[in-house]
Amino acid sequence: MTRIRSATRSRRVSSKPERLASAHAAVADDRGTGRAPQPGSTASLALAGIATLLASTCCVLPLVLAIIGVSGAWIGQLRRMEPYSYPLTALAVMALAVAGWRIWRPALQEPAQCDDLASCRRSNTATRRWFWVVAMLTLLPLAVRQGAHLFY
Amino acid sequence: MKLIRWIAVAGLAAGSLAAQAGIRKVELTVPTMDCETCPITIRIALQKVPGVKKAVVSYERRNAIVTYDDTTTNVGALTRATEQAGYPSFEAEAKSVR
Repeated sequence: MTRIRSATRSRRVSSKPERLASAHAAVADDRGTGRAPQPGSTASLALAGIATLLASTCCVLPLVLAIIGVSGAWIGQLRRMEPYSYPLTALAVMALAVAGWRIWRPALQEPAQCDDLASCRRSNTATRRWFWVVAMLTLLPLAVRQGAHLFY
Repeated sequence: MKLIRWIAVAGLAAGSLAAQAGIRKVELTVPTMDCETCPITIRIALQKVPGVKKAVVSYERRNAIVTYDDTTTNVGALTRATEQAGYPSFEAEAKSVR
């Protein structure tokens, strides 16, 4: 009971984009496609995305730019992000884990208010799709960095 | 006129270690090469310069040994290419090139 109340409260204090997302999901709910995203999963995903983009600025981005043929002396400035690269990657992985937990955590004591599997899901399709996009953005630069020595 | 130039180039090449006319080797020092992906970025940048035959980048030595055709390009163009890719480089001492 307390859990449900706290969930309601956190939903009430949620930020505007989340409220919009909930409203959007509520519309989708009528069509039986999904439910409102769990508050916080969108924020964690956004944090993970920003962290991983900043983390790959120093080392992977110049490589991508070199491959696609973009050049300029300004690329040298990207190196300033290098000391923050690994901490930001760690932050991205943690935020991703939090988002994943919020999307897929086991439904303990969940009141049965869903008719089919689709409406049982706490997160909507878009949130889950974004999770995989951010996961790829996080893991791909990591894999590139770890496997870089194979291309020397 | 072209023939005279070719003879001159051949004469220079005979005196140097390079087997082909106009082919030269230069060692570039890249002090800011300090991440795992840097050597690949530098190699790709160097290979995109017209006239570059081969670019071997060493992460351990922080250098790049570039084989290029000096009738097409020069050391200035090579250092500019690495700088435009984000890693400024300088020509190393000639004796360290093997």
